[in-house]
Amino acid sequence: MGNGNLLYVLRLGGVKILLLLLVSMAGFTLLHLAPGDPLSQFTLAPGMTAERLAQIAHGMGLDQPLWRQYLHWLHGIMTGDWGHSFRDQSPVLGIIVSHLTATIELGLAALGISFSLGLGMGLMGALRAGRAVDDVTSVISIILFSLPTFWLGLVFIYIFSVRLQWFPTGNFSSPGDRSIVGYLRHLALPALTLGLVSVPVWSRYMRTFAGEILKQDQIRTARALGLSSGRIIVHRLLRGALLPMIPVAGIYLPTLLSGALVTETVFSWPGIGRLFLDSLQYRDYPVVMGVLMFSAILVLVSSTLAELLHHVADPRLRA
Amino acid sequence: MTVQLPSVLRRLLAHPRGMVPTLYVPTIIVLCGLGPWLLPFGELHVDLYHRFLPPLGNGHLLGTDEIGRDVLSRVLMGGRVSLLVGLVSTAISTLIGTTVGIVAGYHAGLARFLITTVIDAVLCFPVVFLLLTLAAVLHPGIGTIIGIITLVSWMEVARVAQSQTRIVRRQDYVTAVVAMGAGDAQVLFREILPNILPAIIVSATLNIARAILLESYVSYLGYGIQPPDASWGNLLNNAQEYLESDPWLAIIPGAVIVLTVVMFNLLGDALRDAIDPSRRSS
Amino acid sequence: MTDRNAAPLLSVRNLTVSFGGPDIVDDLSFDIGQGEIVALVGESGSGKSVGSLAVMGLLENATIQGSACLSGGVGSGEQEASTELIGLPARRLRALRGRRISMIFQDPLSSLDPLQTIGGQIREVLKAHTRLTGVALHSRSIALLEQVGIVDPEGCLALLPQRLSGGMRQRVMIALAIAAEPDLLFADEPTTALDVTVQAQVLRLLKGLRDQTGMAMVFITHNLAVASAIADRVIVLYAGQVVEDAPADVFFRRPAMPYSRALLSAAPRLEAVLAGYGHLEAPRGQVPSPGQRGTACRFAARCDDVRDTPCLASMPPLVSIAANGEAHHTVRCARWEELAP
Ligand SMILES: Nc1ncnc2c1ncn2[C@@H]1O[C@H](COP(=O)(O)OP(=O)(O)O)[C@@H](O)[C@H]1O
Ligand code: SF4
Ligand SMILES: [Mg+2]
Repeated sequence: MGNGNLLYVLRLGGVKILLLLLVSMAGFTLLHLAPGDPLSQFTLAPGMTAERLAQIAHGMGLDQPLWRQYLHWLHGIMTGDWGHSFRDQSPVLGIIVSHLTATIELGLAALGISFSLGLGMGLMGALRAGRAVDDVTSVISIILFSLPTFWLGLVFIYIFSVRLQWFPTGNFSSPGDRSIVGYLRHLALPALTLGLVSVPVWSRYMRTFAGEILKQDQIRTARALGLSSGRIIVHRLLRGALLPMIPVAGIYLPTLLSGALVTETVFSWPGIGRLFLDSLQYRDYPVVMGVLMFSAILVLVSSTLAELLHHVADPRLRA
Repeated sequence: MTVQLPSVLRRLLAHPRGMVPTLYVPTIIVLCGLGPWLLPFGELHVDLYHRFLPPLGNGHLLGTDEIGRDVLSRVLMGGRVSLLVGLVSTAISTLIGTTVGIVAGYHAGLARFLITTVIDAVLCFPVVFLLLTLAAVLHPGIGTIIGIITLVSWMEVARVAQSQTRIVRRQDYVTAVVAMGAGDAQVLFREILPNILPAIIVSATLNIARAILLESYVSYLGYGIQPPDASWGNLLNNAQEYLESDPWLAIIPGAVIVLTVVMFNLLGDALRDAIDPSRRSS
Repeated sequence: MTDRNAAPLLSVRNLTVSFGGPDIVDDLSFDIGQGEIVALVGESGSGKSVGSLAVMGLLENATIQGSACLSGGVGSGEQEASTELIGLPARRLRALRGRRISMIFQDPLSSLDPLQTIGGQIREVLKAHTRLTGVALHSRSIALLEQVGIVDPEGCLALLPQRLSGGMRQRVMIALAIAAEPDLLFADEPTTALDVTVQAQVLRLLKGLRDQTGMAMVFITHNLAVASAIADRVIVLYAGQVVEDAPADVFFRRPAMPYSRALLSAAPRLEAVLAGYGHLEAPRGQVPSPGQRGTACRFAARCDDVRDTPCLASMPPLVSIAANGEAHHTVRCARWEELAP
């Protein structure tokens, strides 16, 4: 790896750390804006006295100046002590991790659906630029982009569960049914919902990138040299267009998470999106902030990984 | 690039993809605006004898809801709120975004670095999570919704304004104007602003679509516009309960949202092509 | 080198190309002999590229009429029948491209795959047309790079196009184009993007390759000085038509068409161009655009020798003006005889 690359990675890392600090400050500020301070859960306890409250406040560090509280909180975030749920006092990080699997499964299935559909649509549009196919795929893109996720979910439930009764209306699994088929039947509708609404992310970028490559002389030259169209599409077009898609994956994650929250709510899918909404309803702010911080860190890490991967995968940057 | 309004309008109307949204958008705004005076039923008129009427039932074009209110009236009233949120939050975020974007685009260095870093930091949070948190923390109401949607929307405009400003700033004639000693204000208002305006308008149009969608998410999840006030999002609030027996309660308001958001998105795309026809071929 | 009596390698007849609008290339006819270097000259927009791309089968959304007949290959083992290129199915056309006819373009950087090493790109072409594998593939790649004058072929194989200079890239491009030993190479302004010293080197390389391999070449240029450095024969295109077709020595000594004369008198000598002095000036006025060509001589508006009759009466035909025993020479001018020196 060249010197320029090392410098690039260092700069990238520096900016990311700065970003993380900003993100954490935003999180901390929100936590303090929330109605009902952390003591409110104790004030109504029987036999509570002002003295006792002050003691608790001291114990929680609430009598410290705000910046010290922030540093304390940040230290906790970094060392894995993300606080405890107001609801059952269990550690926030543990709760989040236990809800993560469901979201990852849903997210991966949706990613598969949206990536393959989006890729195909973008590619078709680019290869038939200016023709009917291009128009149709771009209008489909716009429609999918304009669909409220929850409404699409409702429509799917109505069509496929209520009327056709092909799939269950929600939940992770049916009681007593542990089979893989049963699980997939539960996954199908939420994954389709989340997948379809995120198709445009991929299809639009694919259409742009593939369109740019098709305009380059290298395609005409490759044909002049007698390379087959299959070879040209796979080796020149796909390869060239997929490369800049890697950083797009970093942009995609926040969209996916937002969509997951809504999808999980509609389909009662026990992931971190629903955990977030439940916690918000119970005003369980430690968990709310935990999920916010967690997803922000996830987004940062994944976008960094995507950028690094792009750097490794693009031979022009590697050389 | 100077933009002549008549020719933009002509190109906009020349293609169905431009004409349909150009006609739809004012129509839906007028319909929702005049809604209460157009309809025989008040949006809050409860009629427990005519609950769950299907569309066309008993003079109700789109049927009635679980307490017998006229769905069409509620959709139009909901549209007032949803469109208001979309338009006002877009107006504010466009103002903020353009200002911030121009500053970041015009001055290289620390200002640009800080602004872009802050934007990136905000974008780290999934937008629906952020909206819900803010909505839950703040007092619910239409002002709050407008405020928080503005808060998560200005960055897109700022990005567009920033990159456009940088492009214009690099043009030879702007360099020449600067070299001749023109003040910042003169360059800004005479050269930069007119040149980046088309891109800003397009971005703002797309932003309206997004704001309407975001409002529907927040209201659907119960943190936005509170009943009995209607918005397109909260009409769907408890529609899931009645999905089995009365699906139109979910399908109709959702379809109106989709139609309107699609139209704003199409309008944005069509505007982009109409303002800069050379793009169309690409 | 040029044998006028043998059947031509490529025979283009009445080639007409349009993109849904007016004809861009209009009734083009010419022959390319085996091993011959023909310069296709004309101002920008005269249809040089479109005509060549039509023959290569590389135009999309174009309506192409006429014929382009490629005679059977002689060098490659068994004798092949001659092939009509216009309207040939895409599969068969693809099999011919690279192997029998090949093409290089003006900008070598954008012509090469930015993501693949030079070695990878050469192997890609060799695999498409030959059965070479392993060591043979490698040594053939090296040989090709040596053939186009690359000093460190082994090192070059591992590089990406972006690491090479403009001249090196065009050499690599040429190596790719000749990898499968085609009989005919279209070179569309291959030196225009290069600086002058490199231009001369690439011209020498192309001419040397022809001498070495007997490959014929259509060398497209808007620069007469460059044409004079390389061509055996010159075909002048004006507004989509052939207006003169002559052996290079005849053309540069005694051009017959007023347009050719105007071009030549405006053209500085080759040495001056290659040294970077002066630039080619087209005759006053502009080429009529495809929509406004009318039925008279298309050069009439710019011609010093124009007369109402015969010039404006009708479109002058392309006539042979070669005297007995002289080489092929055609011109499209109604007054060529009166104007002959
Ligand atoms: N794909 C195309 N579609 C429509 N017109 C084209 C296309 N390619 C070239 N032309 C037109 O054909 C004419 C000849 O172009 P070209 O052959 O590139 O000229 P030259 O190579 O002699 O400079 C020009 O007027 C050009 O605008
Ligand atoms: S035909 Fe007439 S106008 Fe045309 S080139 Fe000859 S002399 Fe000139
Ligand atoms: Mg050309």
